[in-house]
Amino acid sequence: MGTDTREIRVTVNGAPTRSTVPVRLLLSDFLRDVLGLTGTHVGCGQGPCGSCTVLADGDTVRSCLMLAVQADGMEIETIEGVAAADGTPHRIQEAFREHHALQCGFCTPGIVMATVGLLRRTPCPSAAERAELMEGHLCRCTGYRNIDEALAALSGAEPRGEH
Amino acid sequence: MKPAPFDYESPVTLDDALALLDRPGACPLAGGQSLIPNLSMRRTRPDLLVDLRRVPDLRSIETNAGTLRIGPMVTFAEAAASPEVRDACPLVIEAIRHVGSPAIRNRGTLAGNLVWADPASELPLVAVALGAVLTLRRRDGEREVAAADFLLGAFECAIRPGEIVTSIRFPVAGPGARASFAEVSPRRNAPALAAVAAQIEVVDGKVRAARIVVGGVHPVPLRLTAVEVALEDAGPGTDLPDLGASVAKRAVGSLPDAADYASAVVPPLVGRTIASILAAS
Repeated sequence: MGTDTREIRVTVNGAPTRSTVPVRLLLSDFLRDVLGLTGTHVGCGQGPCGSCTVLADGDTVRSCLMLAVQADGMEIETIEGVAAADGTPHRIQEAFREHHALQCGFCTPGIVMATVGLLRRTPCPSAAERAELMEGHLCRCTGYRNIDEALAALSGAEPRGEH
Repeated sequence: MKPAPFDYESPVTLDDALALLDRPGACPLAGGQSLIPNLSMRRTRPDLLVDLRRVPDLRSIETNAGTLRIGPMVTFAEAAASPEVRDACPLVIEAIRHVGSPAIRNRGTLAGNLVWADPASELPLVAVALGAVLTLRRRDGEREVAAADFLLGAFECAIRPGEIVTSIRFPVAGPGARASFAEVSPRRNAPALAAVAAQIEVVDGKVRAARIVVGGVHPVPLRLTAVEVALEDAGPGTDLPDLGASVAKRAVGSLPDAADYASAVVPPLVGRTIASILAAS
Protein backbone atom coordinates (compact mmCIF):
# COMPACT_ATOMS: atom_id res chain seq x y z
CA MET A 1 0.00 0.00 0.00
CA GLY A 2 1.03 3.58 -0.53
CA THR A 3 2.67 3.04 -3.86
CA ASP A 4 -0.66 2.75 -5.66
CA THR A 5 -0.51 4.63 -8.97
CA ARG A 6 -2.87 5.12 -11.91
CA GLU A 7 -2.48 6.28 -15.43
CA ILE A 8 -4.65 9.32 -16.02
CA ARG A 9 -5.54 11.22 -19.18
CA VAL A 10 -6.46 14.80 -18.56
CA THR A 11 -6.89 17.55 -21.14
CA VAL A 12 -5.23 20.63 -19.71
CA ASN A 13 -5.82 23.98 -21.44
CA GLY A 14 -6.81 22.11 -24.58
CA ALA A 15 -3.75 19.82 -24.68
CA PRO A 16 -4.16 16.11 -23.95
CA THR A 17 -1.84 14.81 -21.23
CA ARG A 18 -1.10 11.28 -20.10
CA SER A 19 0.68 10.61 -16.80
CA THR A 20 1.07 7.92 -14.20
CA VAL A 21 0.47 9.47 -10.80
CA PRO A 22 0.23 8.33 -7.18
CA VAL A 23 -3.47 7.96 -6.33
CA ARG A 24 -3.08 10.27 -3.36
CA LEU A 25 -1.75 13.13 -5.51
CA LEU A 26 -4.01 16.20 -5.35
CA LEU A 27 -5.07 17.81 -8.63
CA SER A 28 -3.35 21.04 -7.52
CA ASP A 29 -0.05 19.20 -7.06
CA PHE A 30 -0.52 17.37 -10.36
CA LEU A 31 -0.89 20.69 -12.17
CA ARG A 32 2.02 22.32 -10.37
CA ASP A 33 4.55 19.55 -9.82
CA VAL A 34 3.86 17.09 -12.63
CA LEU A 35 2.86 19.49 -15.41
CA GLY A 36 4.84 22.48 -14.12
CA LEU A 37 1.81 24.77 -14.30
CA THR A 38 2.64 26.77 -11.20
CA GLY A 39 0.14 29.52 -11.92
CA THR A 40 -2.39 27.56 -9.88
CA HIS A 41 -1.55 28.67 -6.35
CA VAL A 42 -2.09 26.58 -3.23
CA GLY A 43 -3.00 28.71 -0.23
CA CYS A 44 -4.88 26.89 2.50
CA GLY A 45 -5.10 23.39 1.00
CA GLN A 46 -8.46 23.05 2.76
CA GLY A 47 -10.97 24.82 0.52
CA PRO A 48 -11.75 28.25 1.96
CA CYS A 49 -9.12 30.45 0.29
CA GLY A 50 -9.93 29.75 -3.37
CA SER A 51 -6.42 30.40 -4.74
CA CYS A 52 -6.24 26.98 -6.42
CA THR A 53 -9.55 27.36 -8.29
CA VAL A 54 -9.52 25.90 -11.81
CA LEU A 55 -12.24 24.88 -14.23
CA ALA A 56 -13.10 21.17 -14.53
CA ASP A 57 -15.38 20.42 -17.50
CA GLY A 58 -16.31 24.10 -17.33
CA ASP A 59 -17.22 24.21 -13.63
CA THR A 60 -15.16 26.07 -11.05
CA VAL A 61 -13.58 23.63 -8.60
CA ARG A 62 -10.92 23.68 -5.90
CA SER A 63 -7.95 21.78 -7.29
CA CYS A 64 -6.77 21.13 -3.72
CA LEU A 65 -10.05 19.33 -3.00
CA MET A 66 -9.78 16.89 -5.88
CA LEU A 67 -7.46 13.99 -6.42
CA ALA A 68 -5.68 13.96 -9.77
CA VAL A 69 -7.23 10.52 -10.44
CA GLN A 70 -10.69 12.11 -10.14
CA ALA A 71 -9.79 14.38 -13.05
CA ASP A 72 -9.11 11.40 -15.34
CA GLY A 73 -11.07 12.01 -18.54
CA MET A 74 -11.81 15.63 -17.65
CA GLU A 75 -10.98 18.90 -19.31
CA ILE A 76 -9.12 21.18 -16.90
CA GLU A 77 -8.53 24.88 -17.53
CA THR A 78 -5.94 26.81 -15.54
CA ILE A 79 -4.69 30.39 -15.48
CA GLU A 80 -2.00 29.47 -18.03
CA GLY A 81 -4.72 28.94 -20.64
CA VAL A 82 -6.49 32.26 -20.14
CA ALA A 83 -4.33 34.66 -22.15
CA ALA A 84 -4.13 34.26 -25.94
CA ALA A 85 -1.39 32.02 -27.34
CA ASP A 86 0.65 35.08 -28.35
CA GLY A 87 0.54 36.36 -24.76
CA THR A 88 -2.16 38.98 -25.28
CA PRO A 89 -3.98 39.20 -21.95
CA HIS A 90 -7.62 38.11 -21.73
CA ARG A 91 -10.11 40.95 -21.20
CA ILE A 92 -10.54 39.73 -17.60
CA GLN A 93 -6.81 40.12 -17.03
CA GLU A 94 -6.93 43.58 -18.65
CA ALA A 95 -9.79 44.60 -16.38
CA PHE A 96 -7.91 43.37 -13.30
CA ARG A 97 -4.85 45.39 -14.36
CA GLU A 98 -6.85 48.50 -15.17
CA HIS A 99 -8.74 48.48 -11.86
CA HIS A 100 -5.75 47.48 -9.71
CA ALA A 101 -7.66 44.34 -8.73
CA LEU A 102 -4.49 42.61 -7.61
CA GLN A 103 -1.49 43.46 -5.52
CA CYS A 104 0.66 40.53 -4.44
CA GLY A 105 -1.14 38.31 -6.95
CA PHE A 106 -1.35 35.18 -4.84
CA CYS A 107 -5.15 34.89 -4.93
CA THR A 108 -5.46 36.28 -8.46
CA PRO A 109 -5.28 33.08 -10.57
CA GLY A 110 -8.15 31.58 -8.58
CA ILE A 111 -10.29 34.70 -8.83
CA VAL A 112 -9.59 35.05 -12.56
CA MET A 113 -10.58 31.40 -13.15
CA ALA A 114 -13.77 31.87 -11.11
CA THR A 115 -14.49 34.96 -13.22
CA VAL A 116 -13.92 33.03 -16.46
CA GLY A 117 -16.39 30.41 -15.22
CA LEU A 118 -18.95 32.98 -14.08
CA LEU A 119 -18.87 35.12 -17.23
CA ARG A 120 -19.30 32.09 -19.48
CA ARG A 121 -22.59 31.25 -17.82
CA THR A 122 -23.62 34.77 -16.82
CA PRO A 123 -22.16 37.40 -19.14
CA CYS A 124 -23.59 40.29 -17.07
CA PRO A 125 -23.52 39.16 -13.43
CA SER A 126 -25.50 41.23 -10.93
CA ALA A 127 -23.91 42.77 -7.83
CA ALA A 128 -25.24 39.79 -5.84
CA GLU A 129 -23.70 37.31 -8.28
CA ARG A 130 -20.37 39.15 -8.11
CA ALA A 131 -20.54 39.07 -4.32
CA GLU A 132 -21.26 35.34 -4.43
CA LEU A 133 -18.13 34.79 -6.50
CA MET A 134 -16.04 36.76 -4.00
CA GLU A 135 -17.35 34.66 -1.10
CA GLY A 136 -15.23 31.83 -2.42
CA HIS A 137 -11.95 33.77 -2.40
CA LEU A 138 -9.72 35.34 0.20
CA CYS A 139 -7.62 38.35 -0.79
CA ARG A 140 -5.43 39.94 1.84
CA CYS A 141 -4.27 42.93 -0.24
CA THR A 142 -7.02 44.66 -2.16
CA GLY A 143 -9.91 44.72 0.29
CA TYR A 144 -11.98 43.27 -2.60
CA ARG A 145 -13.23 46.68 -3.73
CA ASN A 146 -10.98 46.90 -6.77
CA ILE A 147 -11.78 43.32 -7.67
CA ASP A 148 -15.47 44.14 -7.65
CA GLU A 149 -14.74 47.20 -9.80
CA ALA A 150 -13.00 45.00 -12.34
CA LEU A 151 -15.87 42.49 -12.27
CA ALA A 152 -18.41 45.30 -12.58
CA ALA A 153 -16.56 46.78 -15.56
CA LEU A 154 -16.52 43.35 -17.21
CA SER A 155 -20.25 42.98 -16.71
CA GLY A 156 -20.98 46.51 -17.92
CA ALA A 157 -22.37 47.49 -14.51
CA GLU A 158 -21.57 50.13 -11.91
CA PRO A 159 -19.49 48.88 -8.98
CA ARG A 160 -21.24 48.31 -5.68
CA GLY A 161 -22.00 51.17 -3.33
CA GLU A 162 -19.88 53.99 -1.95
CA HIS A 163 -16.21 53.61 -1.21
CA MET B 1 -0.29 18.73 4.40
CA LYS B 2 -0.91 15.94 1.93
CA PRO B 3 -2.97 12.77 2.24
CA ALA B 4 -1.37 9.69 3.79
CA PRO B 5 -1.05 6.75 1.38
CA PHE B 6 -4.13 4.76 0.47
CA ASP B 7 -5.26 2.37 -2.23
CA TYR B 8 -7.81 3.58 -4.73
CA GLU B 9 -10.49 1.94 -6.84
CA SER B 10 -13.10 3.47 -9.11
CA PRO B 11 -15.56 0.63 -9.75
CA VAL B 12 -18.11 0.83 -12.55
CA THR B 13 -20.96 -1.08 -10.91
CA LEU B 14 -22.70 -0.64 -7.57
CA ASP B 15 -22.13 -4.31 -6.72
CA ASP B 16 -18.39 -3.94 -7.26
CA ALA B 17 -18.37 -0.76 -5.18
CA LEU B 18 -20.18 -2.48 -2.30
CA ALA B 19 -17.84 -5.50 -2.48
CA LEU B 20 -14.82 -3.16 -2.25
CA LEU B 21 -16.41 -1.20 0.59
CA ASP B 22 -16.86 -4.45 2.49
CA ARG B 23 -13.08 -4.60 2.96
CA PRO B 24 -11.67 -3.37 6.28
CA GLY B 25 -10.52 0.26 6.18
CA ALA B 26 -12.47 1.08 3.02
CA CYS B 27 -14.06 4.49 2.66
CA PRO B 28 -16.39 5.79 -0.07
CA LEU B 29 -15.53 8.96 -2.01
CA ALA B 30 -18.38 11.02 -3.42
CA GLY B 31 -17.76 14.76 -3.96
CA GLY B 32 -14.83 14.80 -1.53
CA GLN B 33 -15.33 18.37 -0.35
CA SER B 34 -15.19 17.32 3.31
CA LEU B 35 -13.28 14.06 2.93
CA ILE B 36 -10.34 15.34 0.85
CA PRO B 37 -9.38 18.24 3.17
CA ASN B 38 -9.56 15.73 6.03
CA LEU B 39 -7.33 13.32 4.12
CA SER B 40 -4.92 16.21 3.58
CA MET B 41 -4.96 17.00 7.31
CA ARG B 42 -4.55 13.25 7.97
CA ARG B 43 -7.51 13.31 10.29
CA THR B 44 -8.92 10.53 8.12
CA ARG B 45 -6.61 7.72 6.98
CA PRO B 46 -8.51 5.08 5.03
CA ASP B 47 -6.70 2.03 3.66
CA LEU B 48 -8.83 2.05 0.51
CA LEU B 49 -10.73 4.87 -1.15
CA VAL B 50 -13.66 3.69 -3.27
CA ASP B 51 -14.50 6.45 -5.73
CA LEU B 52 -18.18 6.29 -6.68
CA ARG B 53 -17.92 8.62 -9.69
CA ARG B 54 -18.12 5.90 -12.35
CA VAL B 55 -20.97 3.99 -10.71
CA PRO B 56 -24.06 4.60 -12.87
CA ASP B 57 -27.48 5.74 -11.65
CA LEU B 58 -26.29 7.57 -8.54
CA ARG B 59 -26.97 11.04 -9.98
CA SER B 60 -30.72 11.02 -10.47
CA ILE B 61 -33.28 13.47 -9.13
CA GLU B 62 -36.87 12.26 -9.44
CA THR B 63 -40.28 12.98 -8.00
CA ASN B 64 -42.70 10.12 -7.63
CA ALA B 65 -45.86 9.66 -5.57
CA GLY B 66 -45.30 12.61 -3.28
CA THR B 67 -41.62 11.88 -2.73
CA LEU B 68 -38.52 13.62 -4.05
CA ARG B 69 -35.64 11.18 -4.40
CA ILE B 70 -32.08 12.49 -4.65
CA GLY B 71 -29.23 10.19 -5.62
CA PRO B 72 -26.03 10.14 -3.58
CA MET B 73 -23.79 11.72 -6.23
CA VAL B 74 -26.10 14.71 -6.86
CA THR B 75 -24.11 17.87 -6.17
CA PHE B 76 -25.38 20.99 -4.46
CA ALA B 77 -25.12 22.85 -7.77
CA GLU B 78 -27.18 20.21 -9.57
CA ALA B 79 -29.86 20.20 -6.87
CA ALA B 80 -29.97 24.01 -6.78
CA ALA B 81 -30.53 24.13 -10.54
CA SER B 82 -33.19 21.41 -10.54
CA PRO B 83 -36.79 22.56 -11.18
CA GLU B 84 -37.96 19.34 -9.51
CA VAL B 85 -36.15 20.16 -6.28
CA ARG B 86 -37.38 23.76 -6.43
CA ASP B 87 -41.01 22.65 -6.76
CA ALA B 88 -40.90 19.74 -4.32
CA CYS B 89 -38.58 20.99 -1.57
CA PRO B 90 -38.03 24.75 -1.56
CA LEU B 91 -36.24 24.44 1.79
CA VAL B 92 -33.45 22.42 0.13
CA ILE B 93 -32.89 25.28 -2.32
CA GLU B 94 -32.90 27.90 0.47
CA ALA B 95 -30.35 25.91 2.48
CA ILE B 96 -27.99 25.30 -0.45
CA ARG B 97 -27.48 29.07 -0.83
CA HIS B 98 -25.57 28.88 2.47
CA VAL B 99 -23.42 25.85 1.62
CA GLY B 100 -19.73 26.59 1.05
CA SER B 101 -18.94 28.67 -2.02
CA PRO B 102 -19.80 28.11 -5.70
CA ALA B 103 -16.76 25.89 -6.38
CA ILE B 104 -17.56 23.73 -3.32
CA ARG B 105 -21.20 23.43 -4.43
CA ASN B 106 -20.04 22.23 -7.86
CA ARG B 107 -18.44 19.13 -6.30
CA GLY B 108 -19.99 18.58 -2.86
CA THR B 109 -22.97 16.22 -2.58
CA LEU B 110 -26.09 16.37 -0.42
CA ALA B 111 -25.55 12.78 0.72
CA GLY B 112 -21.94 13.50 1.66
CA ASN B 113 -23.04 16.51 3.68
CA LEU B 114 -25.45 14.31 5.68
CA VAL B 115 -22.92 11.54 6.27
CA TRP B 116 -20.28 14.02 7.42
CA ALA B 117 -22.76 15.13 10.13
CA ASP B 118 -21.05 18.44 10.81
CA PRO B 119 -23.20 20.32 13.35
CA ALA B 120 -22.42 23.54 11.45
CA SER B 121 -23.60 22.31 8.06
CA GLU B 122 -26.91 22.86 6.36
CA LEU B 123 -28.32 19.64 4.92
CA PRO B 124 -28.72 17.87 8.28
CA LEU B 125 -31.14 20.61 9.39
CA VAL B 126 -33.16 20.34 6.22
CA ALA B 127 -33.27 16.54 6.36
CA VAL B 128 -34.55 16.62 9.95
CA ALA B 129 -37.00 19.46 9.24
CA LEU B 130 -38.57 17.66 6.31
CA GLY B 131 -38.42 14.15 7.78
CA ALA B 132 -36.11 12.82 5.07
CA VAL B 133 -35.39 9.08 4.90
CA LEU B 134 -32.03 7.71 3.82
CA THR B 135 -31.55 4.37 2.13
CA LEU B 136 -28.29 2.74 3.23
CA ARG B 137 -26.99 -0.10 1.13
CA ARG B 138 -24.27 -2.63 1.93
CA ARG B 139 -23.08 -5.74 0.14
CA ASP B 140 -25.72 -8.03 1.64
CA GLY B 141 -28.70 -5.78 2.15
CA GLU B 142 -30.33 -2.44 2.57
CA ARG B 143 -32.00 -0.48 5.34
CA GLU B 144 -33.83 2.78 5.73
CA VAL B 145 -33.13 5.31 8.44
CA ALA B 146 -35.00 8.53 9.20
CA ALA B 147 -32.74 11.59 9.21
CA ALA B 148 -33.47 12.28 12.89
CA ASP B 149 -32.20 8.79 13.76
CA PHE B 150 -29.31 8.98 11.31
CA LEU B 151 -27.60 11.97 12.94
CA LEU B 152 -26.17 10.77 16.24
CA GLY B 153 -23.80 13.53 17.32
CA ALA B 154 -21.16 15.96 16.09
CA PHE B 155 -19.54 14.22 13.08
CA GLU B 156 -21.29 10.97 14.02
CA CYS B 157 -23.98 9.27 12.02
CA ALA B 158 -25.61 5.84 11.83
CA ILE B 159 -23.78 4.70 8.71
CA ARG B 160 -21.75 1.52 9.26
CA PRO B 161 -18.55 0.41 7.56
CA GLY B 162 -19.45 -1.09 4.19
CA GLU B 163 -22.58 1.01 3.73
CA ILE B 164 -23.26 3.89 1.39
CA VAL B 165 -26.26 6.17 1.05
CA THR B 166 -28.08 5.19 -2.15
CA SER B 167 -30.92 7.70 -1.87
CA ILE B 168 -32.30 10.56 0.18
CA ARG B 169 -36.09 10.78 0.05
CA PHE B 170 -37.91 13.96 0.99
CA PRO B 171 -41.68 14.28 1.21
CA VAL B 172 -42.94 16.78 -1.37
CA ALA B 173 -44.00 20.02 0.34
CA GLY B 174 -47.75 20.68 0.58
CA PRO B 175 -49.50 23.44 -1.36
CA GLY B 176 -48.74 26.88 0.03
CA ALA B 177 -45.47 25.68 1.61
CA ARG B 178 -42.83 28.36 1.96
CA ALA B 179 -39.32 27.93 3.23
CA SER B 180 -36.56 30.03 4.68
CA PHE B 181 -33.06 29.32 5.91
CA ALA B 182 -31.01 31.78 7.95
CA GLU B 183 -27.68 31.49 9.64
CA VAL B 184 -25.07 33.47 11.51
CA SER B 185 -21.48 32.94 10.46
CA PRO B 186 -18.36 35.11 10.33
CA ARG B 187 -18.50 34.97 6.49
CA ARG B 188 -21.11 33.46 4.26
CA ASN B 189 -18.87 30.54 3.35
CA ALA B 190 -17.68 29.95 6.92
CA PRO B 191 -19.22 27.31 9.19
CA ALA B 192 -22.45 28.49 10.82
CA LEU B 193 -22.42 29.42 14.50
CA ALA B 194 -26.19 29.05 14.44
CA ALA B 195 -28.68 28.22 11.71
CA VAL B 196 -32.45 27.89 11.42
CA ALA B 197 -34.36 25.98 8.77
CA ALA B 198 -38.07 26.79 8.58
CA GLN B 199 -40.89 25.57 6.39
CA ILE B 200 -44.49 26.62 6.90
CA GLU B 201 -47.67 26.12 4.92
CA VAL B 202 -49.77 29.26 5.03
CA VAL B 203 -53.35 28.63 3.92
CA ASP B 204 -55.96 31.41 4.34
CA GLY B 205 -53.70 33.21 6.79
CA LYS B 206 -53.43 30.11 9.00
CA VAL B 207 -50.19 28.26 9.66
CA ARG B 208 -50.07 24.53 9.01
CA ALA B 209 -47.33 21.91 9.03
CA ALA B 210 -44.74 24.19 10.62
CA ARG B 211 -41.21 22.82 10.72
CA ILE B 212 -38.60 24.77 12.64
CA VAL B 213 -35.16 23.21 13.14
CA VAL B 214 -32.07 24.75 14.71
CA GLY B 215 -28.47 23.80 14.02
CA GLY B 216 -24.94 24.90 14.83
CA VAL B 217 -25.64 25.36 18.54
CA HIS B 218 -26.06 21.69 19.37
CA PRO B 219 -24.39 18.38 18.37
CA VAL B 220 -27.41 17.35 16.24
CA PRO B 221 -30.20 19.38 14.61
CA LEU B 222 -32.92 20.33 17.09
CA ARG B 223 -36.53 20.41 16.05
CA LEU B 224 -38.32 23.16 17.99
CA THR B 225 -41.72 21.49 18.31
CA ALA B 226 -42.87 24.05 20.88
CA VAL B 227 -42.42 26.79 18.27
CA GLU B 228 -44.17 24.71 15.61
CA VAL B 229 -47.20 24.11 17.86
CA ALA B 230 -47.36 27.77 18.94
CA LEU B 231 -47.38 28.92 15.32
CA GLU B 232 -50.06 26.43 14.32
CA ASP B 233 -52.27 27.38 17.30
CA ALA B 234 -51.87 31.15 16.90
CA GLY B 235 -55.04 33.16 16.34
CA PRO B 236 -55.53 35.65 13.53
CA GLY B 237 -53.56 38.86 13.86
CA THR B 238 -50.80 37.28 15.97
CA ASP B 239 -47.30 38.63 15.37
CA LEU B 240 -45.92 35.25 14.31
CA PRO B 241 -42.20 36.17 14.06
CA ASP B 242 -42.36 37.64 17.55
CA LEU B 243 -44.26 34.62 18.90
CA GLY B 244 -41.78 32.21 17.25
CA ALA B 245 -38.80 34.09 18.66
CA SER B 246 -40.15 34.18 22.22
CA VAL B 247 -41.11 30.49 22.27
CA ALA B 248 -37.71 29.64 20.74
CA LYS B 249 -35.97 31.56 23.53
CA ARG B 250 -37.65 29.43 26.20
CA ALA B 251 -37.04 26.20 24.26
CA VAL B 252 -33.36 26.85 23.60
CA GLY B 253 -32.68 28.27 27.07
CA SER B 254 -33.57 24.98 28.73
CA LEU B 255 -31.26 22.80 26.66
CA PRO B 256 -28.30 21.33 28.54
CA ASP B 257 -26.16 20.62 25.47
CA ALA B 258 -26.68 23.90 23.64
CA ALA B 259 -23.96 26.50 23.10
CA ASP B 260 -23.94 29.41 25.57
CA TYR B 261 -24.84 31.92 22.87
CA ALA B 262 -27.78 29.88 21.61
CA SER B 263 -30.48 31.73 23.56
CA ALA B 264 -29.15 35.07 22.27
CA VAL B 265 -28.70 34.09 18.62
CA VAL B 266 -31.38 31.50 17.85
CA PRO B 267 -34.57 33.47 18.74
CA PRO B 268 -33.91 36.35 16.32
CA LEU B 269 -32.98 33.84 13.61
CA VAL B 270 -36.27 31.99 14.17
CA GLY B 271 -38.14 35.31 13.97
CA ARG B 272 -36.27 36.24 10.81
CA THR B 273 -37.08 33.01 8.99
CA ILE B 274 -40.79 33.28 9.89
CA ALA B 275 -40.90 36.94 8.81
CA SER B 276 -39.21 36.04 5.55
CA ILE B 277 -41.75 33.28 4.87
CA LEU B 278 -44.71 35.57 5.66
CA ALA B 279 -43.29 38.33 3.46
CA ALA B 280 -43.12 35.89 0.55
CA SER B 281 -46.60 34.41 1.14
